[in-house]
Amino acid sequence: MNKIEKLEAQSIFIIREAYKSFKNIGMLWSIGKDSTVLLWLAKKAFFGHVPFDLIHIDTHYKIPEMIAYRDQLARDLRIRLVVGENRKALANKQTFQDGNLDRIACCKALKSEALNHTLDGSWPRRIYEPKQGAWTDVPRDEPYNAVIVGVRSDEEGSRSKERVFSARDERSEWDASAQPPELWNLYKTEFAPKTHVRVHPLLEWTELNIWEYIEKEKITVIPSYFDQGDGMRYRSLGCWPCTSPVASTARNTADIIEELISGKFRNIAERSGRAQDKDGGGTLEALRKEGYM
Amino acid sequence: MASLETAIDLDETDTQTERMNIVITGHVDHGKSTLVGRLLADTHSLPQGKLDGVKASCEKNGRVFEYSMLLDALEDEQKQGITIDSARVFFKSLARPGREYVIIDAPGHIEFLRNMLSGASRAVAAVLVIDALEGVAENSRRHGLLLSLLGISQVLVVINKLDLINYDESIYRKIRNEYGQYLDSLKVKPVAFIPVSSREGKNITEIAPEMAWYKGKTVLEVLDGFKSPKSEDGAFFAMPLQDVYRFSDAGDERRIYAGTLVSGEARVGDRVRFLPSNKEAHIKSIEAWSAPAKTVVRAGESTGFTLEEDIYVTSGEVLVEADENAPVAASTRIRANIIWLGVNPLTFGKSYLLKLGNAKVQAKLEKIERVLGENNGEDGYYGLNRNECGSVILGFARPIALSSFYDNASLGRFVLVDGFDAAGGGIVLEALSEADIHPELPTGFEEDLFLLLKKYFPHRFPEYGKKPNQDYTI
Ligand SMILES: Nc1nc2c(ncn2[C@@H]2O[C@H](COP(=O)(O)OP(=O)(O)OP(=O)(O)O)[C@@H](O)[C@H]2O)c(=O)[nH]1
Ligand SMILES: [Mg+2]
Repeated sequence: MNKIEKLEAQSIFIIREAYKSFKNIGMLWSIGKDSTVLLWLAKKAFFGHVPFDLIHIDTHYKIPEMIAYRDQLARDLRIRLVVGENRKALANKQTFQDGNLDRIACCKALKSEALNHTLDGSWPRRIYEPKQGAWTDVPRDEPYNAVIVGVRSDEEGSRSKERVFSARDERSEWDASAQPPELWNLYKTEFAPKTHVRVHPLLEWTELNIWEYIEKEKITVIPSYFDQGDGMRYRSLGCWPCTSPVASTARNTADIIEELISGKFRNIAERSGRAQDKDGGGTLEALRKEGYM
Repeated sequence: MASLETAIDLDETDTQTERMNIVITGHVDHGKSTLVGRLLADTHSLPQGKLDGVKASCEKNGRVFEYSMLLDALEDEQKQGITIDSARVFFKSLARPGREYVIIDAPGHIEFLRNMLSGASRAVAAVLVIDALEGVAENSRRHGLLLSLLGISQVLVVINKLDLINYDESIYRKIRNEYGQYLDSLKVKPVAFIPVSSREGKNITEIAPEMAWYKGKTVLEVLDGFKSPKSEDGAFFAMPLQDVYRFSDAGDERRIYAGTLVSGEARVGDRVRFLPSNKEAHIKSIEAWSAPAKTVVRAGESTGFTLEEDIYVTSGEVLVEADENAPVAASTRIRANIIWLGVNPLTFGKSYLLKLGNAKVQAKLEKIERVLGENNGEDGYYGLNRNECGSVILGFARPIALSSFYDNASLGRFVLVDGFDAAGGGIVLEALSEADIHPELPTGFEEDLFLLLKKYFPHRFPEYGKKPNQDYTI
């Protein structure tokens, strides 16, 4: 087995372990390349089925192609899609783009808070039911006890120290300095009631590995990752006010791999196009402690 | 002959795209993170601007720049200049294209031993760092012991901070001899010893003129020489059953027995046996989604079978080939080496959850044969305290299928969970046969007796009454 086959097998093992261990589990799906690989791995793990909900946190500042792609995919794959959002902040214009919050506070409101309240079921969820092919609004719902998330160690410092099964306390907080031991692949899946667990099957994958896998499996990703003719593409997809495309003429997966191995992005960090990471050291860790992915 | 050559060719392709996890261990402050930071910087593996960014932020905050800051990313770590949790960092070998390293920078402080172990359990090779000025310290020894217990046989010993001793060969030799003898006592054969200065970047990626007396390789060269463990394809077939699926939506009628092969291979048509239930069935198909149809699966693959015979088995059993005499057996009692990390000590009379492969079983400590390494207790061995290692006998509430660690690493290691606390890990030295099993005392009686003894002879149970979250540093 080569390294990509091994990574695939380990991630499938983790996803199966997560599915077996939690009654209410979902998979966080941000539409990006990592989420797309995660969904692909889930279909591999369960032989074509996706036996849990996909959860998407809609900040309403995603590039429009992303939302169109998301809804199309849910229809095509017959997936139960749960969408959460911070309706209050959006209605009151408490966002960065409206000039009322700084970038970090905006991330916190539109992503972390929306995520925490969508997961615990205390805020309304919009749900796409594949059987009816229709959307419904659910004001209050059952909490999820665990959610599968596609973060990777190479993205940023605090993620390099994550556990595969990572507990959040009742207030959704992560205590990075007091994580339990996690030996081999014998993951601890026993947690005190009310604990919420983040499961991270992609921790050992790098950005390059993700693209190598997309190439090997011929996975379709959203076209925004490729140059559409204007010499620009997205390397990491976030909200448009805080994510800029990079200059690149990569038109397909093979071009991207080339760029990462020996080309122009060999030594440039993936999230360099994300403005919220730059507001001082440790900021992302602070956000993550409160529930950010 | 031709087929043999093809097989060898295949292995070559594999090593061209290999992934190797290496853990960096050693006593607190001996320079592990500095070594890794330096290695990343000197191999140009850092993203552009990262080094300058960290330097600028140090200047702004009036801190002295340290290479370790490239690794110690948590706020608490940077404030205190200490590694708390193991970090994973990635870099590519320059000399061996296609090889990727995951360097796991472990913490050295005893308080974070659980994090060191979490990192080390993922590694196939280790670097052990010793400060030349301070010499061999308590956790240099403890980490060496733990590496041997985890079965990590490729160990590079780096003697660091040679700049502080004027690159003096005789001090290096003295430490090398002392630690070499210690590793010898653990039956660990180090791959090499290297004198370095991590801070000054000496002998890391280039041989330093200051140590003309040193004739060996650089740290980078030794890493490039580490070997990936040999594939388990050729060994006996074993697959812990992770789950059984029957997704009935969209008319899917398959019942799929899913798991990850830990060794050997299985083919359509093979007769397999489930342990411990001893039920047998034939593999009807190998299932996969979005992959070419397969008739064989090998060690490491996550797969699923349908069976000719509809049998009822549950997750945790182990599939082996029915005709093969695989060294996997259903056992209720094992001799094991364990590392205890629990908040509360490991004691007799208490039930723990043991996890091995995909099996879970209630387990009890029956005997402590000896404490390995430094022991933290006072008189007698009435349990194991946090961060102690021991050779023990454990008994299970019902049989589970397992191997000795030396026959099959994946079926020969386990973790222990105490309530919701991941409390320890260990490796199976041997499964004890039925003949070793003494008539069980009624467990209620055993527990009552223990509680009485504890009450009337508290001095015989020195650790039992202490506060649970106490620091057991020696
Ligand atoms: N003079 C000198 N100092 C060094 C050298 N290597 C590391 N140091 C210093 O030793 C101190 C500890 O270094 P770290 O790299 O943080 O040590 P560590 O082993 O990672 O420590 P923990 O992870 O907390 O166990 C820092 O102040 C380093 O600058 C060296 O080669 N020479
Ligand atoms: Mg360190």
